[in-house]
Amino acid sequence: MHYRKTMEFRVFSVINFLFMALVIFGVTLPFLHLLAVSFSDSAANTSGKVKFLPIGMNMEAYKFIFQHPSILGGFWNAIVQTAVGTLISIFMMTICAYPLSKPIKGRKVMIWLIMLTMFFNGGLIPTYMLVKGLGLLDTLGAIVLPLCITPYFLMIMINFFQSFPDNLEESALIDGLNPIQILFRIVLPLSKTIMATMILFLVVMYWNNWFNSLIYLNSPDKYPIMLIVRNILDGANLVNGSLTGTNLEKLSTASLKSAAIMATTLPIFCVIPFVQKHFTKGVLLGAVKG
Amino acid sequence: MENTIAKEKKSLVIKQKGMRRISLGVYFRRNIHYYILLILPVLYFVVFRYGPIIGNVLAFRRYVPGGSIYGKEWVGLKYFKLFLGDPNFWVAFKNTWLLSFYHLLITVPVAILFALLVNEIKSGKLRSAVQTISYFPNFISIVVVIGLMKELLSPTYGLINKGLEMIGIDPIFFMNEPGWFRSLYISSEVWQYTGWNSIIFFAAISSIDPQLYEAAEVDGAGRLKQIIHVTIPQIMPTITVVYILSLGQLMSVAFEKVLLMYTPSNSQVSDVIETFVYRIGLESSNYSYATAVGLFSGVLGLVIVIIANYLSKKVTRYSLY
Repeated sequence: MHYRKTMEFRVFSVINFLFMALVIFGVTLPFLHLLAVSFSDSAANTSGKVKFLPIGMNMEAYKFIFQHPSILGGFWNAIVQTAVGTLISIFMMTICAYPLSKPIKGRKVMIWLIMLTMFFNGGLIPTYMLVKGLGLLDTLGAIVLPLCITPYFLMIMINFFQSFPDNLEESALIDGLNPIQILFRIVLPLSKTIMATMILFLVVMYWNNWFNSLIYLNSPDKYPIMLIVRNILDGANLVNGSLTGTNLEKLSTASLKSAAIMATTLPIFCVIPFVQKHFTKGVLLGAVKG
Repeated sequence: MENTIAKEKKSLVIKQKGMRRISLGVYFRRNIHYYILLILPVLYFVVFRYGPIIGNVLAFRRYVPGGSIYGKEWVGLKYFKLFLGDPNFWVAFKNTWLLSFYHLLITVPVAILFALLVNEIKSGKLRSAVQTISYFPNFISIVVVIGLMKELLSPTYGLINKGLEMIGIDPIFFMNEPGWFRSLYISSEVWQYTGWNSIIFFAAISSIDPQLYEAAEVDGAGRLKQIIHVTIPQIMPTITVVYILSLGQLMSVAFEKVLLMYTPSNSQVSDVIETFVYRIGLESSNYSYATAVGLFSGVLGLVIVIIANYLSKKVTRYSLY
């Protein structure tokens, strides 16, 4: 075939290659730059000399972050919110999706009512008023409960359970197990793909959430790290006297901000490669029905 | 005995149809376990999803501090009249539409283009590497994305302005410049979500019958022509569905992002309906007024989805439901 040698093929390949390089560098370079800034000294940062390699290598910004009590507390709060939120969500979504994947009476109406909430939600103020009315303000419940079933994720799970082969469940039913036992003993152990995907999505959702904490939490000692990072990036003054042992000549706001970004983003980057091969499948399962 | 087992095998749910007529009570008793599982989720949806929807009555009622969350007394359309006469609302309304419009115009085609180009990479390893890298930004918090942007665009030490300086352009205070707001908003959306949004198109492309390409090649079509005449028509259903789904988001821009990018100097372009609701409602505690604005935009959004879905059904035969 002569096609491979044509001019069009070459031009196309070159353009495509350049485009891919743009994508790869476009994603990685900003992070490399911030990584360099986070390790650079104050003078190099304020003059903007740092490109992709640190100048005046030091760890002051990270020392500051991992010694500051309210930042450490923020990490802890975020871990608690993420762990509790993910557990409750995955449980609620499983017990919701499984029955809805079976042809039970009322299934259509329930799915329709759930879909409706995808396109019409109560809105910011009514949700806030509800959380307030339930007395959940300034508690973990305000962060975890309103988000606990995401209709979009739920649809993905329903589609997954529908595609689950029937015969296993049928023979279990004949063996005398009831559907609840079947779900927890037979279906769930065989649903690792969807569970891994959902857990990744949920962990990311709770870890990255800052807005609910902003509106529902009043006490700063309950703030998760993302909200604190947002305050640091907004130029909040964290310095209130707790700077003992920190070298101010080396610590610039730029490196502090960059270090805050790296410290909150790297945990997520470390998780993704492990679940990467699962989540595209998970997303597509939800999309197939469209 | 064997006969009943065979009957049960047919379906996990003991159905009414095809069997002896059983009463509703017997039906529920036999399938009770499914309904037990649904108790908590239903409770969740009633309280946390439908509760706020009912809470929208607040838009028609006056709220007294410390009183019921559903308000104290009916005031009719007072709050609707109030915001319809508020020039700030119309500024936010216009900004919302413009942002959504540009968003729809740019992000979806970019994702399609990205999927088409990734699909042209012949090396499987390189292809999956590019895809994986492009997914990463999707998982980053908006707080971090905007922080990243602010750092890179800083007029004093930001990398971008240093680069501009080298080619002799004065530093630009991007984050404060109203003229840059929309471009920055859209480009950060493209940066963050293109890889992720392309997954669905990529899947649609890879399910195209290879024979179609072979036939096109026999007819003398090059790569570009194959994309135009085979790939794009084949993924049209997916494109349609994605556009309808995005239309549903027309009234709700990435509100958290806008809130993070908001500065007093770009407020004339960055105030959207949801930030307006946030400021009026949660910062100034005008709950009823803000609820009225939120309800208006929510209903408008729903109407848009219904119309878009109807049109799509008529024109392309593809629809959501």
